[in-house]
Amino acid sequence: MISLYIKAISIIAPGINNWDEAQAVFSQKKPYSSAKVAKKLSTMLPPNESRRCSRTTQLALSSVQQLTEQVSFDSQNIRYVFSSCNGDLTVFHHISSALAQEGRPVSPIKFHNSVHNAPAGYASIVLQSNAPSTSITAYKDSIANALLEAAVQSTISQQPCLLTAYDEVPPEPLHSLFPIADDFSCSLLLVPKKNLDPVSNKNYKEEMLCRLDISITHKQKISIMEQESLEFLRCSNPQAKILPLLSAIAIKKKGTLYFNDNQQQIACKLSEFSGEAFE
Amino acid sequence: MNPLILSNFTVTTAAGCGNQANLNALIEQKSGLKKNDFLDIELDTWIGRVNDIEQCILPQSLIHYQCRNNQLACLALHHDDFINTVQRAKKQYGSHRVAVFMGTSTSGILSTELAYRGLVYNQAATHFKNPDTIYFREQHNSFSLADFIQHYFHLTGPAQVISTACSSSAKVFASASRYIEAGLCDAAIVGGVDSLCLTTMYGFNSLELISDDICRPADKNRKGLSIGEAAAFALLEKPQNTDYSSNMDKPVYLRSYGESSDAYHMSTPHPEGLGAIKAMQDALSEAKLTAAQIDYINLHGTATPVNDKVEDIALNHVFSNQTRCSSSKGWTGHTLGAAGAVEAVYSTLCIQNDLLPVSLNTQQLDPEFKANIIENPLSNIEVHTIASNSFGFGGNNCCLIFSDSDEFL
Repeated sequence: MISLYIKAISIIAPGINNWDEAQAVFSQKKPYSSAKVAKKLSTMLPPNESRRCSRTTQLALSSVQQLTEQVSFDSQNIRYVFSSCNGDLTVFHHISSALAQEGRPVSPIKFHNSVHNAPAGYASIVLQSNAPSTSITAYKDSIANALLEAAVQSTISQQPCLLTAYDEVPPEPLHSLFPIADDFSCSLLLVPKKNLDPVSNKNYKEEMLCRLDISITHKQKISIMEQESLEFLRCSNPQAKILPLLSAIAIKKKGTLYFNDNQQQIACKLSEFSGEAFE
Repeated sequence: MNPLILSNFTVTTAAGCGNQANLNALIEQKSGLKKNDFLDIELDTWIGRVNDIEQCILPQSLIHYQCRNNQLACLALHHDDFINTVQRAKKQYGSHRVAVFMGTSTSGILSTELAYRGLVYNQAATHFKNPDTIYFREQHNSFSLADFIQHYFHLTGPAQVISTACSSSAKVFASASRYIEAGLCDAAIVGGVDSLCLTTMYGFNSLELISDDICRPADKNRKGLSIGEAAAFALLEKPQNTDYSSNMDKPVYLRSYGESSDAYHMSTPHPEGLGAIKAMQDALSEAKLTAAQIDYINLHGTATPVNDKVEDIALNHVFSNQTRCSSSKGWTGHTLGAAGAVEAVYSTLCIQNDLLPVSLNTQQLDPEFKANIIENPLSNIEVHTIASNSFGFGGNNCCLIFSDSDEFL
């Protein structure tokens, strides 16, 4: 088992534009109503880079940006993990369509945007960070596997780790093969010790969101959302399978949650919430 | 990190199938590259194509995984007794304690590319609008490779694919070693597989990075890369858990990894090699080695004008101009997401056989280079410790260090 702390969370989901809204929805202070994720997303990229990068990259970067607005961290003294089920299917579709045409006119910008780690590359540029980044996929179980990868990296390196998960609605004919109802992106800042400040590496004055004990398990019932509309949201995008974890953190509900449908299961035990614990 | 033993390993490239064939090619200086003859691709270039991929048939239970990339993986697995090593580890630790960490950049996308053209790979013509012709999970998705390996060996431990372009299968060594250190698994199959497809051939062509000549790393007149396909695997374990070292003349250990980002450009390296320097320095410091203790550096050495120049600048910053180095891309071509694992196995073969490869196809060494590029075959040398560089798009860098000693030197 690996023990560490979650410092901050950001989220972009249908009807949920940030972590404040997510907390209000999960604690039922605000009713959930689904709305399409905005087509135009703000990123930290300068205009010329923003034009060159794909919308998938913008989706990932806007959740990174939200997180940087909530909490400061030293962008050099950290590690990054990125999770996407398929990489950028929109770019793949453009390239494959070009390859089916006379002369096979593949765009060089599309080609360099086609790599699975394109959002990670753009993120390193905007954060001016030479820190390592790892981009993974475990198909539909990418998010929990990436959370485990991030937890392992943070613990072994004794540095914070910023996990960013994202997947965009793919174009047809790929959408039929990998249906995603709407875009989803979230970022979690993990820190290896309760009192470790990711900026100074000295003691933290602020509280952590919670403690996370993560381990590998098997034959457990996968965690779902109780509220029907939120369960629909959980099923709308493979990265949204993390929702039960985000919801439990928002309402400070202790306990263990289970993830992964095809791969070895991952257990996440939450405790030591900031402020009062939910009973 | 604590050193991990490579209890077995295997490599299949255009230069040969299996370790012995690749070793022979290295000794005989026989390149696996040839003029492009892949499908109907009319680009004037050289490729590193592996023979016999098309004849490799996957087991019937995994037939939906049948695509060029998984065929190449399957072909490579059947060399060097690798399958038996995995079976032994599975029996020793349990199927849930053996992890699978694979690197690939394009997985089985060739099948989808052809489906878009109204064809189906290895099957009769059909129309791309019919998505039934695409096996999305089993072939197209990048995780397909780890999924296939996991199913092939009936393993249930952690499994993931790292896809960071051309550093992918170097980084799996780092990820696997952390999982072993964290106690999440006892052994890990690490490796990389990338196979020829249209996206990379036409994509690198669009960036004007492929050469119409055979690739000539570190050459004054280098014009770009030759794209290759390859598969390479290793089994990593804690040395104390296996008696495998006693069976080997010269056991080889993964000593450390260094990872970094350029934070500069998506497809051009940092002009002063900032990220490459950090990856090499971090690998040295993690292994508690000095630059002088490295006998040889297997270069990323793609033979593009910019890559080789920047790598030379970075090398000069970290190592003395005495440290021997060369690129093995002249044998294999640039095997992209498989390059890290291929060159990890090449490094291991070089340590075990006290061999250092020349810079194959290099006719006239770039006079601006300061690094000690091997131009002529060396005899009567001892090789103990090797660093291997892999750099990818997105400015993603990884340096691995391998040694015949698990002690601090």
